[in-house]
Amino acid sequence: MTERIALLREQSLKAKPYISTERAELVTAVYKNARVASPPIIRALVFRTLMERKTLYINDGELIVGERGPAPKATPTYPEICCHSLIDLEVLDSREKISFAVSPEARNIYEEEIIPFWKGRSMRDMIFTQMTDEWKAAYDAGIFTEFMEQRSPGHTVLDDKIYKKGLLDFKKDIRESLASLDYVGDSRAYDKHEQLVAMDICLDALIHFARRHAEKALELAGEEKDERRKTELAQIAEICSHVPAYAPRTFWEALQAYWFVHVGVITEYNTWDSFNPGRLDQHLYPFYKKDIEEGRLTEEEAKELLQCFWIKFNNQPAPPKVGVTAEESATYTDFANINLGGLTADGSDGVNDLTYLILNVIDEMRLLQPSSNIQLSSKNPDRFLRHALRIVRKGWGQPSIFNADMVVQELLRQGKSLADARCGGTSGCVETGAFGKESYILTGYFNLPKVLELALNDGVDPRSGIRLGPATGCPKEFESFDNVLHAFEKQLDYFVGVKIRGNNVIERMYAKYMPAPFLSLFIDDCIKKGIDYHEGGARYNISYIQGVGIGTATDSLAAVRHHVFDEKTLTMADLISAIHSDFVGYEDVRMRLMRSSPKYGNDDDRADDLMTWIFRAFFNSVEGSPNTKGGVHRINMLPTTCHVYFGKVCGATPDGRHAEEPLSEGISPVQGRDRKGPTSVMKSAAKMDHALTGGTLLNMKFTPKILEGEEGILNLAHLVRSYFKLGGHHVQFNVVNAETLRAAQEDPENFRNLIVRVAGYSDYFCDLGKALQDEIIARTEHASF
Amino acid sequence: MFFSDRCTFCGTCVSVCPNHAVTLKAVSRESNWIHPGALEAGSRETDRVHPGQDMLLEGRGSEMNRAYEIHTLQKKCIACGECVKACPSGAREVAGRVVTSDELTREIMKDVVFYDSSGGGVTFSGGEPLLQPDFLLVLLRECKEREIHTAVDTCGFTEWETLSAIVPYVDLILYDLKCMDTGMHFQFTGRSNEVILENLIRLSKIHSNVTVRFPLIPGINDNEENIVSMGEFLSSLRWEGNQPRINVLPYHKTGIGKYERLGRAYSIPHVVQPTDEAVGCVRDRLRRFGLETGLEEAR
Repeated sequence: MTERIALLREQSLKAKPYISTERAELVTAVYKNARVASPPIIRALVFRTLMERKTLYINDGELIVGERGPAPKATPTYPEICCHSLIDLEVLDSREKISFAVSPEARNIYEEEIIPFWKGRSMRDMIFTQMTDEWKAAYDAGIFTEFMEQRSPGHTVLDDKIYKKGLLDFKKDIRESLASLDYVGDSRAYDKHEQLVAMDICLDALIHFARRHAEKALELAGEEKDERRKTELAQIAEICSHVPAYAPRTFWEALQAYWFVHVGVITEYNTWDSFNPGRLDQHLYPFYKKDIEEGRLTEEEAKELLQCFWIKFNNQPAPPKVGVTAEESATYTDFANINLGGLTADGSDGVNDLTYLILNVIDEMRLLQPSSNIQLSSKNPDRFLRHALRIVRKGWGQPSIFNADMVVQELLRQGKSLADARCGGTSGCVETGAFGKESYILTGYFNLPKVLELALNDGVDPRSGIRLGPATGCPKEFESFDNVLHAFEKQLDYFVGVKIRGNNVIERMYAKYMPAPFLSLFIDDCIKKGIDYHEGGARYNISYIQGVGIGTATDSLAAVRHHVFDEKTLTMADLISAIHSDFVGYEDVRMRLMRSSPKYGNDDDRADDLMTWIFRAFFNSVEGSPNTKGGVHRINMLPTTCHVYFGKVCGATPDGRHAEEPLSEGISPVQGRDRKGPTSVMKSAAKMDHALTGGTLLNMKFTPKILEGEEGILNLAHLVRSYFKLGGHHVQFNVVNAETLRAAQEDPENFRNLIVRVAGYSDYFCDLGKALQDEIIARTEHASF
Repeated sequence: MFFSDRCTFCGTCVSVCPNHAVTLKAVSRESNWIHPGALEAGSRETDRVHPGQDMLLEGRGSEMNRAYEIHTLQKKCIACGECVKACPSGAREVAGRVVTSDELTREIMKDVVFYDSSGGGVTFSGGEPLLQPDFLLVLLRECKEREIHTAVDTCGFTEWETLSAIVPYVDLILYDLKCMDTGMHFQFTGRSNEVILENLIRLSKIHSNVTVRFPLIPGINDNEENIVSMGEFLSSLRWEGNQPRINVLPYHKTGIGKYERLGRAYSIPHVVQPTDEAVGCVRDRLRRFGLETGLEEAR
C-alpha cells in the first residue's frame, strides 16, 4: 500500500471513538424552534440543518471526503430516537468493551440541553409507554429483543441508481410524482405531497453539503504548500461540485457520490446496518473500465481510491448502544457488508477484474469495517472462490461466503421479480434483500431455548417465578413426547404473537413520527408512490424476526425425547429438578444428558429431525403475518451477539448446558457438540429449508494447519460448494488456534489486532466480552476434514 | 479403550459389569460419593497386575484430590459394552463394532455430495481389510454400483485369489511395503514377506493404479540396503500403464496414546521421528530408480 494509505489506515486504527454532541444540539434546536409542520417536513428541516451546519472535516491526504461526525470516529448521538441518560453516558465512557469517551463538555450539554428536551419525547421512551405489559414482561425476561428501541429501522442497501442518475434527475422524478397526485380520488394525496416535498428538501440539502466540501477543499488548496496535494484538493473540489447533483462520470466520482449518500443516510438516523453500496464490483466496473481505457486511471490509482473508501467506513463506529441493544449487538462495527461476485441482472457470471482488485484491497486493508462477502453462484468460476479462500484462510473472518443461487431462490419465493432477485444480495450479517427496492427490517431476536424453558415450566419463568406464557401443562404429567412438542408450539405461537403485535405498533410509530425522507429518495418505489420508507414506500416490505439458539433447543428436545420417553432412564420429574437446580447434585444426570443424547450437527436424524421440527414451528408461527406496510413477517436465523445475552437469561437446559451460559449461535451446532467433522455439520445444517428464510448463519472454525497449501484451499472450496449444493445459505470461517485465542485473553495488549469472526461480521477479539470470547474458543475446532 | 483423563471414579462401570471384570480401589479412606456397590465389588490386593495380561489403568487424582485405581481384568472382560453405556463421562469405548453391509453402505452414502465435488470416495483400511474378504467384496461392489471411488489399503499378506477377486472393484490400491529382506521382515512383523512381494508383482501387471506405501521407521527399515533393494524391486516391475509410485510415510508417535488407552505396552518408545532431511534423502534415493515418490505426513 502507498504511504498515504498506510498513514490513513494507521490513524483509523488508532483513533478512539468518542461522543460528539454536535448532531444532538443541532437536532434539538430544530425541534425547539419548529413551527407546526408535518413530520416529514420537520425531518427534512432537521436534515437540511445538519447538512448546512455540521462541521466539515477533510483529512490530510484522503481522497474521498465526508464524515458523519466532526472528525473520524467522532460519534454523533440521536436523542430523538434514543436519549441517553447521564448514567448511560457514564456507562459508555467507563465500560470495558465498546466504550465511547464522553468529555465533560459533552456531559454538560446533555445535562443542560439534550436530556431536558428529549426525556419522555424520544422514540425509545414513547415506544416503551406504548408497549403492553405482556410485551414488556416478555422483553424483560429476555424472550425477545426490540431492534427499534434505540435505533431506527434501516436494513436496506443501495442499488445502481446513483451511478446512472444525479440528484437533480431525482428532482425531476419528484416533480413528476407531485404532478401526478390525485387530490380528488386519492385520500392520501396531501400526505404524499408533504412527503415528496420533504424528499426534495433533503435532496437539495445533500447537494449543498457536497458543495460545502468543494468550498472547503478549495480553501485548503489555497493554503496547501505541497504541489501534489494542492492538485488533489482541486480535484476533490471539482468532484464535490459535480456529484451528487449530477451523475458520476469517473471511478473517483462514483465512489464519492456513494459516500455522500452514505453519510447522508447515517446522519439522518442511526439506521441499523448503516448503509451499503451492495454489489460494488458490478456498479463500479463500467467506470473502472472506461477510466482505464481512456487513460484517466491506473490500476494502482483505482486501488488507492478503494483503500481510501475502505478507511471511510472504518471511521464510523456504530452509534453507541446501551442495555439490551448493547448486549445483542456488542460491537463497533456498523455492518456495511459489501457484496462481490454473484450474478448480473441477466443471470450471468458477475465476476470481473474489479472483483479481484477489491478482494485484494480487502486482504491488504484488514479493517474491521466495512464487512465484505462473496456471492458464490454455480455460475461463478472456482478461481474466484479460491482467491477469496486465500484471504479467508488468513483467519480474520472476511470475506464471508454466500450461496448466490439460494439467495435468488429465497427472493423469488418471497415474490420478487427475477431481475430484482438477481440484483439483490445479502447485507448486515446474512440478510437477504432486493437491493434498492426493499425494506427488510430486522425487528428483534427471538430466544428459542427460553421458549422451551417455559414449555417445560407450564409457562412460568423459573428465573423470576412470574407467569409469562400460557399454561401448557405440568411437564411431569406429559404422557408422550408429543405433549412436550405441543407445549413448545403453544408457547412459541403466544410469544411470536406478542412480538408481532408490538412490531405493528412500533412500525406505525416510526411511520408517523420519524419518517426518513432522505433515505426514501434511494429506495424504490418511495418517490413513485410518494410514501416514506418507514411507511411502506419500498417495493417490498418485510419485517423479520431472527431465531436464536436452535442448536441448543434441538439438543434439549432430543435429550428429553431420548432419556425420558424413549430409553425411559430418566423421569421428567428428575430432569426438571436437575435443570431447576442447575445440576447441583445432579452431575451424573448432566453427564448423561451431555454425552449420551443425540446431538445436532452430526448428521444424525435423531437430533436433526427435531431441528427441522423447531424450524418449521418457528416458520409457521411467523411467516405471512401481516405488517403495517403492506408486507408480511418472515424469519431468518442469525444471532449477532445475542446468543450470549439470551443465554444469560436462560436457566440450565436439558442438553446439559449450565444456567446463564451462552446459547448456540446462528444455525451452528452447540459449541463443541459436533463430533463427526465439518461434513456432518453441513449435512445437518442443510436439513433446514434455507429457501424459507431471509438468511441463515453458519460459523465454522479450523486450525491453520489443515488449510495449509493448495490442498487446503481445494478442500475448503469443495466443502463450500458441497454445502451450497445442499442448499446452504451462508458459511463463514474462523481460522485460528484455540491456543492463540486463549493467549489473547490473557494478554490483550499483544493481540490488539486479532480479528475473529463473531456472527455475520468480524471484530477485534479483545473488544469482545469474556463470555463471548470463551464462546468463540469453545466453538468446535476441527482438526481434520 | 479407557480414557483415563475423563474418568471421574464414580464406579458405575464396576457395578454394571456382569463379569465383575472391573475393580475400583480408593487409596484414601474417605470416599462418600462413589457409586454404591463399587468398592464392595472388589478392592482386593489379590488382583495382582500381570504385565500383558491385565489392563492396569491408573487414575489421576479426582477433584477431591484422592487417588484411585481402576483395573480391568482382560480375561474376564467379554467386551459386552455395558460399562461403555453406563459411563457418564464417556471414559470407555469398545474399539470396533458389528455392522451389516447395508448399514455401512448407508453410512458411506451420507457424504456423497462431498465426494461428487472433490472426487473423493471411500478408503477401506484397518487393520487389514483383506482379513474380511467376503464383506469387503460386497462393500466394494455396492460402492461401484453407486459410482463411488474406492481405495483399499492393504499389506498384501493374503492369497492371490483373495486379492485378485477384489481388484476389479478397486480404483486405487494402497500397498504397504515395509522390508525387503525376508528375515528382517519376519523379525519385525512376525511374518515372511514372500507372499507380499509375489502379490505385488502380479498386481502391478493387472491394475493400473497402485501406490506403494513405505512406512519409514528410523533404526528399523531406513537402512541403505533396504531402500536400494526396494528401489530395484519396484523399478523392475512391469507397471500396467502407470508410473511406478511410492509414498514415504515418516514414522510418528501419535499411536502411543492409543496403546495407553488399550493398556498395552509400546514396543519402540525410544524410536524418534525421522528428520525432514532424512525423509528427503530417502525420497531422493528412491527417485534415482525412476520412481515417483510422494510424502504422507501426519498433520
